[in-house]
Amino acid sequence: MSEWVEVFLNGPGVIVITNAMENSAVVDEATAIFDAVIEEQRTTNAGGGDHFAKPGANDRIWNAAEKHCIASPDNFARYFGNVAIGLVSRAWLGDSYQVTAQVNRVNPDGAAQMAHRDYHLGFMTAERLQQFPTHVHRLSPVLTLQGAIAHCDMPVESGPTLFLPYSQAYLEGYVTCAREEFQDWFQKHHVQLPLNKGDAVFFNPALMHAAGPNVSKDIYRMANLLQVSSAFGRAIESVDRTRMSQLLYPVLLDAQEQNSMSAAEISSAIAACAEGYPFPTNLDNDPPVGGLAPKSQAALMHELLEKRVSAEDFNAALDEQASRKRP
Amino acid sequence: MDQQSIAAERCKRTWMKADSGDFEAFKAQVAQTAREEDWPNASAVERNVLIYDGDNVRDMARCPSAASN
Repeated sequence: MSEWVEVFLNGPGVIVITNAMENSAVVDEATAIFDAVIEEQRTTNAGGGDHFAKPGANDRIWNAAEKHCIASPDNFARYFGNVAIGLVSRAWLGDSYQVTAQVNRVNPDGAAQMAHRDYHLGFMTAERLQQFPTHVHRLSPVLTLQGAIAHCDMPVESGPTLFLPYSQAYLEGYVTCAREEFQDWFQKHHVQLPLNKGDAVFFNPALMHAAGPNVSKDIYRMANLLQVSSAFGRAIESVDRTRMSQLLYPVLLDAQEQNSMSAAEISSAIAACAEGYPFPTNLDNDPPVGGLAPKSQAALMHELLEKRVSAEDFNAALDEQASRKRP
Repeated sequence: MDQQSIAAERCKRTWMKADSGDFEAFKAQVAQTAREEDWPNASAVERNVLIYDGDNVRDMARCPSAASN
């Protein structure tokens, strides 16, 4: 999708895909899974801090991708076996991208966030930003695609995200973002669109944005925030992709047998789960035999799925590959 | 330009300072308006946000030639 490349690069910087999640039952089942995780975090006092909000105003699930996959590999497969997510990720980042996810549920009375840019350079102080040369300020936005899946209807009073279109293409934006006149401009000129359950938003991480205030009485505004990383970037979270792949493989094998997922959907699910890039690796043990690069975890999963190898044999191959890649 | 000014100019180009960036240039950048005709795959433009219909996106994903547009 060349059109999306230019939207994110020099265009408005943000798109909505309406009804990106075709099957709303899949979204509801994921919501129930996330609610249960939040409930458990509250009882055990786990979870903890948030970089953009006060305690209590919202509930976060860090590493929601792995937790989702562990709780229900079947729902994970249907949720991420989504060609729209695959198409937009591939458009901005190219092949071998990595999906991480963080659920954010903003509760009634949850305040608006301060306008900010996102990972990587968006998470640095003004002093730290000056340690990176200007061409790295240009690089940062192409290392990530930011997205969100709406898990409930989000009328404006529930506080769906505020955006300042075109702000992503302002080169000095990381250093200027927190300055008063830029914050004031954001306050006066931001846009906000209501979303329906199953809609998705994707935007350049350098776009100035902020969660809106939830002034509704009873809407617990849940979004699954997708942070999709370039193969060449460092994803924000460490994720046990070997464990996820072992859980997902039998589901995909079955879906392939039953023809209940298309090849493109299976491919999108694998991309959200397995490590998509073969490096870094241990080249002594994992040399690039017969090519320029050794096999990635995702490539192994594709290959064995195509051969209809049993889950047991897949697990063995996956463990063997993981041990070869270890330093 | 003497050597000292070449070095100073180069430093300005390659490193950001705390006061880098021009507010007028920022305002001009974000004052743009998205035109529907520039984004033929979008189903609508609402307040400068491009809206794509999920069914169309799924059709595009199924058809490799459309997906490259």
